[in-house]
Amino acid sequence: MSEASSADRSAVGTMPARLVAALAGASLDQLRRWRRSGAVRASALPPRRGLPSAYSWDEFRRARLASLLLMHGLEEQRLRSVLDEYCNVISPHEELPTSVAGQRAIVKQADGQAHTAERWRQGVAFDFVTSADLDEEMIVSRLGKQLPDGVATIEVLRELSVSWPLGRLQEFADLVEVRPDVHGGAPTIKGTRLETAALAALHAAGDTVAAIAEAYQLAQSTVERVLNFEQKLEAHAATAG
Amino acid sequence: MRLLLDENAPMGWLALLDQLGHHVEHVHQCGLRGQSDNEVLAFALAENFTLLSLNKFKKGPDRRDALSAMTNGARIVRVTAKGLSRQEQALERRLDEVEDAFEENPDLRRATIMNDFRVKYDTVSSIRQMLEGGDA
Repeated sequence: MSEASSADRSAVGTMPARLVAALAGASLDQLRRWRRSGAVRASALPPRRGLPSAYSWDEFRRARLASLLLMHGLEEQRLRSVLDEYCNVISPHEELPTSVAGQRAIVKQADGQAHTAERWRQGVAFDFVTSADLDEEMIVSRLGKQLPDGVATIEVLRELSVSWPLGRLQEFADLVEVRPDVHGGAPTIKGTRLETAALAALHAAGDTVAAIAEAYQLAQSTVERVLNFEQKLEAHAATAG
Repeated sequence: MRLLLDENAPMGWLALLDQLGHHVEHVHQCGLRGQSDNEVLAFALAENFTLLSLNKFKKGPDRRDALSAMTNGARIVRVTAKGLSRQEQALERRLDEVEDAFEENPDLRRATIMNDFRVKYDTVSSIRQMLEGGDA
């Protein structure tokens, strides 16, 4: 990989640990443990005194994969090597999901460039194994690479794909999105640059749902669901994974 | 001051800032709804806007795209006061002072109006330091 593309990738997304843990489906303790073992790196910015770790978009995806792999029975001591295999297979420099006779398949991105904002916005990056009929042979032939061995590969990739990037909070996918190029990966109301945390902060400061809805010209039901999303996000970050 | 309101800012700020004598536009009016940080920052820089936003809700790292844009000349005013009415007070009390400070010192890139209405300024060199990972 060239230096330029590596720099492009690290510049995308600066996600705090709590957000990564909550969406990936891990506890903060797990995330810390993965970092110590080198399975997941906090690499968006070098650590600064007094600031918690930050994760790039790639590392966030690794954390999500780690959580899914453990859920499918992978032993934690094999996590790092298996994650490396997976991330080699689904590098963000490879696209695109295309419809092949109604199926989704992987097509390697021809120019080797990082995703453009537009492609991220379309949410296509991990949309590739959503068809239940898609078999391993087809993925391997499209990808030109062997899939990682063993751990329920197709199921893990499919789960990653259908619940990406909101993970356990996928139920809010019609309302909330997470994009690495908008507010560094902070959750926003879909199609806007309005952070869900902005509304939660107002509510925490004592503003009513009605006042917040009026200030942002939103329906009260929208504000209520955003607050519900934020509550669940906090709860997930706080509970053991 | 020429201000571009990010989508985190309430729509009501348009009228408020207009009353306070600033030239203000919302990203919605500029075709930037839902656009990326880089696109918004590049627009602000090209059109000589200072970006006005609320973007520090949780303790965490500064966002790299914004830091890079500021080293290239973009200016940002953040309001971290808590609650709708306190945020408006923060603007009423401090925005003129921020405008003067920006005019007097071209090295200033970011002003943060805090909950106690104190203003913290970041210079281009302190922002460069943050980007490089040093303590700022």
